[in-house]
Amino acid sequence: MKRQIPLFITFLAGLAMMVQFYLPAWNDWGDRFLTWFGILAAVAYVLGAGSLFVVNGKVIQRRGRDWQFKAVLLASLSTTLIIGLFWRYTSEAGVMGWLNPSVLPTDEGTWFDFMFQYVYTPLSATMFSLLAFFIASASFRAFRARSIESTLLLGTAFIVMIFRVPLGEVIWNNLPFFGQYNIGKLIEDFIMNGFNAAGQRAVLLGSSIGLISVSVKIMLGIERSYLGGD
Amino acid sequence: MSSLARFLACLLILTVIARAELLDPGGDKRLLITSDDRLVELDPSSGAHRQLLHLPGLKDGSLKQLSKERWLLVGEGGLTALSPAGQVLWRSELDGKLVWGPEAVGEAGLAMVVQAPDKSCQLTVLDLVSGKASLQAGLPGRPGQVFPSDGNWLLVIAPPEPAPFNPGYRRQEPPPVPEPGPEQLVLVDGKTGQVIWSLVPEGKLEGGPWLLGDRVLEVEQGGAQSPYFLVSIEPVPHILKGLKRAWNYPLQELPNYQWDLPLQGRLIAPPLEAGDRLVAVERSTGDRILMLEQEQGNLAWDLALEGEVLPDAEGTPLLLLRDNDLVVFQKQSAGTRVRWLNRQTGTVENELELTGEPLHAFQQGDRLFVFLKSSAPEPRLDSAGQPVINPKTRQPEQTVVESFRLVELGETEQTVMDAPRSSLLGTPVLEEGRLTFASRLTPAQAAGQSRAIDVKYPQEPILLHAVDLQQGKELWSYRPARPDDRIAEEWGFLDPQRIWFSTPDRRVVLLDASTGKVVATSAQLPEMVTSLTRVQDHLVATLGSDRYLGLRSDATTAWPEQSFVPFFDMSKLNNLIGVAVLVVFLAYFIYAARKKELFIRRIAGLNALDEAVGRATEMGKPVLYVHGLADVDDIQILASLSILGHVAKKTAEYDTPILVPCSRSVVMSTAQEVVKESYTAAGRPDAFQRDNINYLTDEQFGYVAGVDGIMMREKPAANFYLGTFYAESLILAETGHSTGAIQIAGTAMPSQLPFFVSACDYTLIGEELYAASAYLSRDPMQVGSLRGQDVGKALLMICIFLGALLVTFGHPVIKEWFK
Repeated sequence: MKRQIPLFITFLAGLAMMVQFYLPAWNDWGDRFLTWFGILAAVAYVLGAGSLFVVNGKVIQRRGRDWQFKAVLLASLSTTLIIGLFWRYTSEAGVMGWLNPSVLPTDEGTWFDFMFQYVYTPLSATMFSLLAFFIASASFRAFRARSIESTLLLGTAFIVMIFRVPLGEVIWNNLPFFGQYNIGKLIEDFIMNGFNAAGQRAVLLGSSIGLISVSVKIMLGIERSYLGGD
Repeated sequence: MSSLARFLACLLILTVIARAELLDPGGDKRLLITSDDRLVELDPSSGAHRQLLHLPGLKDGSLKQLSKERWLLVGEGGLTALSPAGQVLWRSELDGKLVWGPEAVGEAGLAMVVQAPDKSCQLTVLDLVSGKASLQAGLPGRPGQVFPSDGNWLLVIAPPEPAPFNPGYRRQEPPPVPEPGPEQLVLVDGKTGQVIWSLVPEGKLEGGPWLLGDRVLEVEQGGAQSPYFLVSIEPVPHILKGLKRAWNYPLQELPNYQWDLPLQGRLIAPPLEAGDRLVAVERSTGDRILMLEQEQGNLAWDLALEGEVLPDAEGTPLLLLRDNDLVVFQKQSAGTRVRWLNRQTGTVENELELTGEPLHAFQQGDRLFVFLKSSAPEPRLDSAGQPVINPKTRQPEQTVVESFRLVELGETEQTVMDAPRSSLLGTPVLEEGRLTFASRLTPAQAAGQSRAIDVKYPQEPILLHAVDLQQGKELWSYRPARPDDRIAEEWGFLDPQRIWFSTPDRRVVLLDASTGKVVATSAQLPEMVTSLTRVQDHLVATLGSDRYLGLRSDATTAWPEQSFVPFFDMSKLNNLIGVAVLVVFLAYFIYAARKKELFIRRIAGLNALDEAVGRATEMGKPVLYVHGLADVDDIQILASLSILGHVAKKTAEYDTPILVPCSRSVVMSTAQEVVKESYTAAGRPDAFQRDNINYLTDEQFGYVAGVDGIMMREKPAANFYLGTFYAESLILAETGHSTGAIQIAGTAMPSQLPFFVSACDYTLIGEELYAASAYLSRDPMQVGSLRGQDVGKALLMICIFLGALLVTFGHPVIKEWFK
């Protein structure tokens, strides 16, 4: 019974989502299931926050390795939570106070907005900017002519990376004979919209069939390992 | 006439979402064009509907009656002729964009001007009965304005556009764009569709053309002395008409230039006909009113104004032509002034300074009524009644409060209705001497006093008013006593006697238009009514975009909420068949796999899972498992959770810790259960550590920072990235690589696969992620589904091959089917 009820709920939910896709009159059901999921996910946030406090709190309590970082994490979490929930100040409207219903935490000028703009956004941008360096190091390892396929990859990557930047375009345009052709358009039409698009679509088509297959298996209870165990 | 047009415009605005048009005036059915491009027939007594057509772009189209037996539906895709019963008689595709028409010409013709895809102008006449083209004439250049006149059409033809520059793969600079050539005027015979004459104006066309009777007026560019000319052309010279009658002479001659009048500026609006004269307003340094003789173009009189002629709220110049005088509203250096000019002589008979900005002017017999707007600044107060200080200027902020009045103009301004702290909404409707309009009230607030905020209905209230222009007094104002009875944006005339509006609590209220009294109120409806249309004795209320319900005239519900949307979406039939075929394959191979062992190709990434866990065990380091950034409603996450179960069982058997940092709380809870079950299945429930499967954050780069931190601190020997990944994929994989871990990745996100392929040891590409569960479990039912999936893929490959072949040979059958 412990296994049958979740499987039955899964079947019903899957069927409802599938049916509402084909029967527009039942679209409401799809929206309703998504709302229920949203409610569940919102409740689960409490679990998430609880997990953060428990896991990091234990390390702080026993002064484990790098406990200072955990303390900073929990302090940041608590500060953001308090400011977002209670302290709604905005200089624009000249309104200040606790639990002010006319100002949302995400409104421009609030302290929460300040933290988002000047703390969170630069930190995120810093993490994202690491990508540029990682692309260089990954490319360096990937583009090695070890086999015919990797040599083709190397050649294609060379053309795309060199001639899609202004410097490469200048070099190309000054080449005898080749310079009369538009390298940007050639790359766009043959490599990006040709080989690249075909490869991506192949992956997408295969994934879509796999997705349908997994969905059917989950609905029919053939695939149940997501419930824990086989 | 203008009031009737306003009334009709008001009705049209009210039926934007689903327009109802009477197809058969004598019948009891209504045709409605729904917002999702369906033409449905509605029975107002029962609410039942029948779909007649579903065409893309239909909602932007129109329905017009051509004859008693024939209606025409004009949409983006083409023309459809319908019988009064809604039966499709013929369809004609449009090869381009409809610029003008279709208009009935002759006894059985339907003419239109179409801009072809190559921007050329095509004049087409269709046979009304068959829908076949009886005439197709190409005109030089691009179609501009079209003016039907006296059975003929005057077209402004712009010069043809230069062909688009296409250098192919050669590197060439585009040639300089040539100067656009002059526009042409073309007069087309309304009966035959043939060009009667075409004319290139001597100067560049700067205004018009305007057709007044059988006269064409246009403004051409002039020279240094007179920058512009107002030119009058007689479209079909009388002498040529006579020639045609006598000898059937083809009318291919130039039209007569009748007269031209030098101007110092352009005309601000089309000239108005005033008997045998014309009134025009020229704008250069100031405005000048010109009264011309139509026949000779002589200036009867002209009057230079000190300021400009004021426009009304809709931008039309406030110039009223009456029996004996011409009323002009003009801007002064300070304020506005209205002048009554003698139509014959142009002398100023009366003038009056106005105390506000005119919005709309209405005539009722000899009486003249004007809405005047005024505005005054006042300090902006917050909800506690304190002045709001601008944080940048440190000065108190000001807000502008609008008021308006309806005044009757005579020797002085006589206030008919005063609406302080209110702004006029939309265009007032004049019907049978009664002016009906809406206003929005700005509530007053005293300094130091808190503002009462209506949290339920924060919008400022809308009021309705009616004024009797014949008696010059206010008839009524609708001011709701309760917030629930307020007007929620939508209001309009149901018929000349009744006004409807919806309330914020989703009711429909009907008012008597002559008394302003509530005559009926509906029950609370499921949604806000966006339009209300009267159909015989019933009212059809449109809810949202695709639902409707019926009300009786006393606002009681006649039939409940229904949807225009059909039960099954036929456009998804191909999708359903495709899924059904795939499911049949899956079912068959699941059944077949029970009887004999099926071969599955080797997937290196999945074979390496155990090897990776073994390596971590040997090194005495943990295993890191990352799901990515989606929730459990993503199938990739479910597939990843299945693999997690397998990996966790191995880690339990080898007694190696597994770390699962999650970015979604629901995924964390599910992963905890999956890992716990796996440890139990492996006989090691004691080794399960719930804290190792923890939540980090929902934020993308916060999550990346957290996982990278774990990698750097814990130095796991095996990293698994299986699930949904975005820009963080390479940051994770490269950090993992730098720690020397063996890495296995898998995702169905095509844009992230190259990053995983280059940075990880093994990568599951797309469908391999979904196949993992079957591959690892070797359960016959799962393996059968894998084979079914492969056969489905083979079928798709055959379709792609055949589709490409057929399209190459000009038969897009398969391509169309897959759309």
